[in-house]
Amino acid sequence: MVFSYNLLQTFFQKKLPDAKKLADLIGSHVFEIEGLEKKGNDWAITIDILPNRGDCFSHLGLAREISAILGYPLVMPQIKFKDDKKFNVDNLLKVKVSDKDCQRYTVKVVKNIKISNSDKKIKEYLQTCGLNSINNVVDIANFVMIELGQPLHVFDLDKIDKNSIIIKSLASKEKFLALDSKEYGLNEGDMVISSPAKILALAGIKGGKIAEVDNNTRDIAIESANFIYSRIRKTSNKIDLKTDASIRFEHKIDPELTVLSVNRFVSLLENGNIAKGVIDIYKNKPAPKIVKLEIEKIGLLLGIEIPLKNILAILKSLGFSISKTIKGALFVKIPTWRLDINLQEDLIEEIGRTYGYDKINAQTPISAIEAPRIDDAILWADRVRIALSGIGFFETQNYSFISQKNKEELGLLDSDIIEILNPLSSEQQYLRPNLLINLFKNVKSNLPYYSDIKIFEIGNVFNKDDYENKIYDVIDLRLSGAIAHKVDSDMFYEAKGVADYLLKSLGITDYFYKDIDLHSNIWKRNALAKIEINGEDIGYVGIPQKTVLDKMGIVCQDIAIFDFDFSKLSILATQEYEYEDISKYPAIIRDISVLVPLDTKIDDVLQKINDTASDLIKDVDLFDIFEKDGNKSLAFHIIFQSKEKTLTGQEIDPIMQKIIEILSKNQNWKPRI
Amino acid sequence: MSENDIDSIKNNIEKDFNCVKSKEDLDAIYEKYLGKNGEVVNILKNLRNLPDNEKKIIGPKANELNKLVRENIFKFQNKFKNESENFFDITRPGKKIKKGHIHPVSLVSSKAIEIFSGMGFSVIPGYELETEWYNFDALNIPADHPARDMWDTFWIKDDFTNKKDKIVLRTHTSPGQVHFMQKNNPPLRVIIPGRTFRHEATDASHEYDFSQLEGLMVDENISVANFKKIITDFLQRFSGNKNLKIRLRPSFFPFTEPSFEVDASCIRCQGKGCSLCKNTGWMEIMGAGMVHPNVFKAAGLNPNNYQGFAFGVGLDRLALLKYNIGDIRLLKSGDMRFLEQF
Repeated sequence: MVFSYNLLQTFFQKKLPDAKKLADLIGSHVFEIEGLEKKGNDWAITIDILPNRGDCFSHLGLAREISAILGYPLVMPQIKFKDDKKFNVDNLLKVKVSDKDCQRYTVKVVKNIKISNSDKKIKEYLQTCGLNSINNVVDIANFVMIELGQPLHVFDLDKIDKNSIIIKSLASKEKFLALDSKEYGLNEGDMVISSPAKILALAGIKGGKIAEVDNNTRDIAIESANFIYSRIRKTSNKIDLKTDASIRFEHKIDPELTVLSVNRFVSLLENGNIAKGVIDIYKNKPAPKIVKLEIEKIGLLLGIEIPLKNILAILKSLGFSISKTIKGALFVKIPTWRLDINLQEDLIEEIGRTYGYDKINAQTPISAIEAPRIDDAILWADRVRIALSGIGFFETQNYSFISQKNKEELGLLDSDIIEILNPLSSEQQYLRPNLLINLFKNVKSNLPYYSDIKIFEIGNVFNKDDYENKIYDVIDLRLSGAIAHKVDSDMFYEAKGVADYLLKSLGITDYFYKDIDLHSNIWKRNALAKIEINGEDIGYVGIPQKTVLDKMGIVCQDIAIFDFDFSKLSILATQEYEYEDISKYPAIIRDISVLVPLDTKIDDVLQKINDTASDLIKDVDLFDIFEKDGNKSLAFHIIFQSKEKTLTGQEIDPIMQKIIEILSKNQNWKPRI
Repeated sequence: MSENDIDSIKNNIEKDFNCVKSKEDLDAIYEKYLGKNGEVVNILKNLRNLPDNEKKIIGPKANELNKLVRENIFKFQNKFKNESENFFDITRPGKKIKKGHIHPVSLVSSKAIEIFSGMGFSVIPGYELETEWYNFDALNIPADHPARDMWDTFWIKDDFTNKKDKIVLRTHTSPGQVHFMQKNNPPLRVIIPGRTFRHEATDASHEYDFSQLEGLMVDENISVANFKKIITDFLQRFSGNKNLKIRLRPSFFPFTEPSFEVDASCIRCQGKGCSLCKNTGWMEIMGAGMVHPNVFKAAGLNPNNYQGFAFGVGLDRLALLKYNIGDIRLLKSGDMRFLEQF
């Protein structure tokens, strides 16, 4: 909200510090200053009023704060007017409140007003605060609103059907033509100010065209009301209309302001006959609020001992009074305008900020020591970042969303992916069901600059079909990566090598690659391996479908991808593994080559070699592979080692013999030593 | 001196020449075998003391050794001749080894985790999707309160839970406080790093998908003064500036009372005033406050027994400040030209 320095000055007899100094004081004790601008001979101070301080959407409210900070006494605006006994408000207007959320409804009537330009001073204040001048009546209403914080509405009395007003909630949908000539569709339950026939105003939000004040207006009714904040907020949100009035009501304002404000209005009028009396319907006046404040708690919470006399002075300066003191507790009476104060913590904040947070010295906490627990996934994510960046991978962080276009192109199903109800645009229509889609985008955008791309991301993905009974079920932490080179036939094996490296970096060794015929929108069939540990899927390595790459705009590139369930990985990584003694005896290496058909799986050959079940075989290593006459030749190092003795050729020969026997059982395989 | 000795010297000579890398090595070998007291020289010297039959066998063998050493030295000398004696170009580029890069927000997050865990704070992730209750109500932000407007929210189209509680992308990491307090009893010390979401348009300093770090410390008498200490320590360690200062300004968050904004003295100008801090000498770093009694109640703790502080700091913002990045959107650009600088 924008404040006028000159208008703030009217609340004090003492000269205020200059505008810049004043702004600094407000900034350090109450609200953030958003701007300070010279306007004619005035200063416009833009202040971010905190949403709990409905009382400060007014110069009066801010002046109270300034008074507390500077210790300057506050001077209330002058209210001086004379009723004209010829007219009595009760004869001119009938008011009925039938909606209990209209807490208070106050009206005064002025006859024979002359609509004209307003007073120069008022115009200037309005201008500083960014409000347009319209005519004397509307300007004074606006002025009282910025001065005291009470929104006023002025009706042309002659336009109110049967001079009768009822405050009610709508029983059914109805159209409403507002002052700005726009039509709003109101709903059942919206609170309106109505004549017997027509809606005059939308309560607390906007006046209507029907009873608008115009140049011919003679008699006016000035409404000064208080509505329950939540009702105003609800309607205003629904019809998407925020006004100076609705913002104030939403933030809760002092119901005691209504009479003061309507009187302030009439005392600023320069002509017209003020009808005697005021209509003031105020059924449920709240009882004065008393909050118990334990003096000890102030020091305990703030961590500083503030002398009692300072505490009392601060409370008094902010309008609080002490109703009684019992056993170290103050019973503090809360002024009607401080609707935000309900608990002793609220009061401690008032004391702390006014005393000055800068006076609180930093203090080491005294608290029991306990070894901190760090979430496994967070801990291992760090290790993975170090491991992968160590072999040339770039970590990316992508948006958690995918677009409508992505969804359609990849044929993702509504039954799987989660939709945003109010997306910013169709670019962020859905939550990402995997990390791969956005990694493809990264590949594409980097291709003009990099011929070799290795990227990965660790992040959450969202899949509806994981839902069991908690919303958290649909969240899944993944680690995915992509490798892209210009045309390279060994991409799959590079990605598989990365997967091996990664798993070993995490201390995981007992995993297997398995063929899987997965129906997928992304992975290419027959070029996909599932990684399993103890029968559980932990991830995939493979090649994306060409059609997917085409759709993502990636041309002429070979790409391999990997995708891990990172929660499972981090649990496995955390499991202990044991050190195994290093053998004191030398290892013996024998080589064997096997000529097999092209479609033979290397793993099948390895399995057979392991089938010899010799505990002297420590490792079998594929070291060469080449194609020859429609077959392929696989060459393995077989490493023998014993923990008990130095092995001799005589001990190894029979094992090699056995390996050959086993391999020869397959007629298509031709082993050779 | 036996034939075996001669063989072993021969072996040594061969081994030594296998390891020759420089002219110095060659000189050393010459000295070792053919120098004044060289091993081969000594054999030749001793020849005349040997009986004739041995002389006949050892003699030619010793001469072979002599020849072997000289020939090899000659061979290597030729090789080294072409290399300038003392010239070694250390300015030649090293072998290219491709380095990867860790995302700046991860770097900042890891650093924060390291500092806080060192001060005894546990680390938990929280959930990116939340129920309306955890994201708002439990944090003392009722549905009809204008404070809700402080968090522009992405709502989820819920056609799968059959539950009343609406689902949101968490607008802050604060729901993690409630989860943690529901499962643990004080003393509590925890940080919750993770992504948060706001339904707002992006520009150089605003992002709709960004990372935050929540902090919570609760015990019987944790105070504002303690908060000042922990946060000053953190920011000093994080920035590497031992003289960094903080200040608290009043603020409002429904889940803390009192609430404050925390400013740190500008990391670039150290408080003197510069373009980064808009000449104020201070930079807004985080929102914080003392946990509101209603939040304790919502999490099942008795507010009469406990008190403590909570804070939320933008990790993206810390990364921008730390690395002097001008546009927050670069963080999620996936642009390797950006990423390779970290």
